[in-house]
Amino acid sequence: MRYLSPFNSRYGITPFSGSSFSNFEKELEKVFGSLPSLFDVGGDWISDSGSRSVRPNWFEHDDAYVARVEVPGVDPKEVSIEVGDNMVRLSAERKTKSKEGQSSISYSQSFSIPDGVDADKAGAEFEDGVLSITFPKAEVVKPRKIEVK
Amino acid sequence: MSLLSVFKPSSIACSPSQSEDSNGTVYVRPRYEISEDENAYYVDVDLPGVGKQDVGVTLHDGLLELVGERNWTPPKGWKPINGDHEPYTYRLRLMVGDRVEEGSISAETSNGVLRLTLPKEEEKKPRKIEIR
Repeated sequence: MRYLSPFNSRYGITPFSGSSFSNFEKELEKVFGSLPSLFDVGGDWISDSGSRSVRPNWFEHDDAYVARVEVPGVDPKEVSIEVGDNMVRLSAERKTKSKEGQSSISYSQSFSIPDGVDADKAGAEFEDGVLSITFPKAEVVKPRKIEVK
Repeated sequence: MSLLSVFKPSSIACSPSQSEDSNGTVYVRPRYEISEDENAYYVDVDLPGVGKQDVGVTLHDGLLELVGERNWTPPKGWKPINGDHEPYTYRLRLMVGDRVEEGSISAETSNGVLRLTLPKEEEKKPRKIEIR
């Protein structure tokens, strides 16, 4: 309270001091006093499950296929990408610190690799929580210009 | 401090939700989590693909607004195979209560997550006034 005002006007509704209305105000304070003082203007509270699936967005260019996956909050060192038979298995751990100690959310996803790539030469980059995995095309699949003689 | 904003009917119970303004800017509400300890509230906001230079945080009249522009578009010659790749803007608006020390709110980004730290105001203790 930054200035003097009648006690019961503190929450905006003044004139009924001592009435049940101001008791209601006090009840409100009791109920809401324990809530964090942050309210989402947009609406809903976010609840979260322990694990999330991540869907890759695929791109194709002349030399490669690229899969981009959003994994915010993950340390790039905690990302594991396993390339197998036409499949990629991606897993990552997101650690968060809170009052209760450390908790973690794991991301995991398997997805198939397009045909005609050289999976052994796959490479990955990480920037601002987005992982992009590049699968170079096998020589045969690249568009080739055939000269007419 | 609008306590009643809690009771607004929520649209969809999952996030991110999306809206568009008259200029055609697409706003997406990011996923976020709030935690607290004895000193502060912490808001961790997921902003994948948003660089530090593209985030803006403002506080006006108790309304904390966070805007993160996601400008990534596929480089030339990249053909999208699936998904939507139009640029969009993350926006989150939070009402900040009077128990937060508004002058010392800080923010930092790491790996696509922005952490806002909102220090708690010192408890207002009942004070005895001496009669002289």
